[in-house]
Amino acid sequence: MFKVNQMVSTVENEYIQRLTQMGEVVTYTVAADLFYEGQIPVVAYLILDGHVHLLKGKKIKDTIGGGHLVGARELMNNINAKMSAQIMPKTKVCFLSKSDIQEILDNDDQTSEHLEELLNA
Amino acid sequence: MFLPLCGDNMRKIKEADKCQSCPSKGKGIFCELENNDLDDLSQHKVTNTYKKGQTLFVQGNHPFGLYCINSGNIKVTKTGADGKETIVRVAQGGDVLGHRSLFTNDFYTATATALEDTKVCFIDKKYILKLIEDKPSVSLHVINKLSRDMGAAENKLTSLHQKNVRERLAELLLLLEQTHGEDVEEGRKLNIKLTREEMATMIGTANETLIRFISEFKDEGLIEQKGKTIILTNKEKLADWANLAY
Repeated sequence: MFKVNQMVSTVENEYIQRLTQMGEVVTYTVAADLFYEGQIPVVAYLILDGHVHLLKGKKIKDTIGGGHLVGARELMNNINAKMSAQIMPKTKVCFLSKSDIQEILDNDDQTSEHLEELLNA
Repeated sequence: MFLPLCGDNMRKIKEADKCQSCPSKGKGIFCELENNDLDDLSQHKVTNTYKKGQTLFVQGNHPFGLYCINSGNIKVTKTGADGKETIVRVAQGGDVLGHRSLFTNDFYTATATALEDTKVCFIDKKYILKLIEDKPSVSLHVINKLSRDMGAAENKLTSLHQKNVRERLAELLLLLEQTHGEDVEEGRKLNIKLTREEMATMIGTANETLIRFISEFKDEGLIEQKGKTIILTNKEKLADWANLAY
């Protein structure tokens, strides 16, 4: 896993599979706000397919696609997000809650090593 | 550095964000938990402040946990096929949101929007379901909330079928007085900012009709208005007009 910006990390394919087994996978039919700038995301989002816009104010600063994990560091460290995230229609995403991530950290040595790198970055 | 959720190296949570410091403590579903359970809950929850107009969740989206209101007011609305928004209820400090979708695993059947700056805690599904399994007091409080919600829904349905707009408005003002009333010199001030349009959707009428009845209530000395704030000046007469069944 490596970081794209402060809030986003790229996840390698082998870990995507493990993470999706832990979380819940949903496809959004309409655009929706995932979290707002200045807030702690309530879950982390692993984008599997489609797009998520990252916004500062109302300006789109970045658009991320499949294979990116957003909000995990903020969620697990109680850090306010520097940008808002807006998911686009037909985007497939895997939700990873605090409990899901903690379970991975506690029980899956290989994935937890990579997750911890990301969370401590 | 990232720290685990439990053990000696627990992450530091701001004192104000701990469940023990919640201004709605005693009103929520976790109020009977022991201190160490509340500490554990504080570590697992996410506390955020939503600005007026920001949504906690949107009708049709997937639920992933429970929202527990710390302070402030949140409107819960349903949008019809025609795009019209109806306020189902107004939630306040101590109330929980998203609990029904959590148990049924359905998508959210309503949208929750902050009516003012509102502090809300989020607890993920896995943790809350485990807590419900382990702590009977939490389960009982959730059942209590669900029963009250159902009672309120039945009352609203009856009211919409059996009462006229005047009676429904009087009833709404009395309900808001119970949940958001505050003593002032003139009577009971409603400590909630709702637009006329929002109030109209709550009693299933048109905006113009609501405005007409508010004027009538003012002329009859039942209420007073100071800017956008409503003060109930004659509760007895209001109860009479609401045609309340006991």
